[in-house]
Amino acid sequence: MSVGSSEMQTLPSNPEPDRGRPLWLDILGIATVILVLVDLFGALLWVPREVQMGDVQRIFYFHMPSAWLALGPAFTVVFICGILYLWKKELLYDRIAVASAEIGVVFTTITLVTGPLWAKPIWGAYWTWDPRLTTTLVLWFIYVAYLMVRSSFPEGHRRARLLAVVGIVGWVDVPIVFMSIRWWRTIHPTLVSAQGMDMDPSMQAMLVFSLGVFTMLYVYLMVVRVGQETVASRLGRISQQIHIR
Amino acid sequence: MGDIGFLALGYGFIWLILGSYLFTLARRQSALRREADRLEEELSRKA
Repeated sequence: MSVGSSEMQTLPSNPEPDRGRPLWLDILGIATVILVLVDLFGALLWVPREVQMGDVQRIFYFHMPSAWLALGPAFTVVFICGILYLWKKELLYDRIAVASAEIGVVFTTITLVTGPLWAKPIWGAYWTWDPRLTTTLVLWFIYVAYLMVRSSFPEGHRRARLLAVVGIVGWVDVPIVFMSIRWWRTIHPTLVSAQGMDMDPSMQAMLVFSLGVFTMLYVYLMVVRVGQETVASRLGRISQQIHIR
Repeated sequence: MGDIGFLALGYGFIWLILGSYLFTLARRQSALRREADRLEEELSRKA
């Protein structure tokens, strides 16, 4: 059974599903793994050591792209798909939204775990109720609640409508997280100021590369996850059809 | 714990979380495959 295929819907009249996995998906997966390893090598060995923070600053090259992946593409796709679902009433948007929310939660978890490990040697504390940290934690709770709501209701338009609303309302926290370091006093580092990025060019290059790799990782995970949701939904319908007959 | 210790812990957690998620995806994939096989069998029995 291929995650990206659409053969399962016609299974009752064509019971032999195509079990071939698309080649492009394998190529995308292999390229993503290679690039993540290159990214890891760059972050740990290639990029120069930050003078004030020392080696622990290297967490930044996975911490910041994780936050970008979650707040940028992942939760924004949930928001957009929520709107599209309410407009078009197509369950495909619900499936894309849940896949994206799940990936967003995974990478927000990485952000919330790596941040304190960076903060402890720099700030002297794992956690402070800083606006950036607090709003990110709230965001994590919102999307964990989203996934819990999804798992407690049966598949259908009622669940999709509820989740679309949660996804749209929950997204309001994303710009708040982003702007928190500008709106309130914070000890969280500000990467981009009015003067631009205050970083060594090689560190900037490493960061841009990491952002690209994490975006590619998001695309790969989305293709796999949306494919799984689609196949699961079709298998559910086929199972119902078989038992009705 | 020094700088390197926190760095190692940070990357350790990243791989642990990513690895667990990929493992979950793989388990879901095999569950879907089993379900497809079961439905195929049921269909061929009914046919």
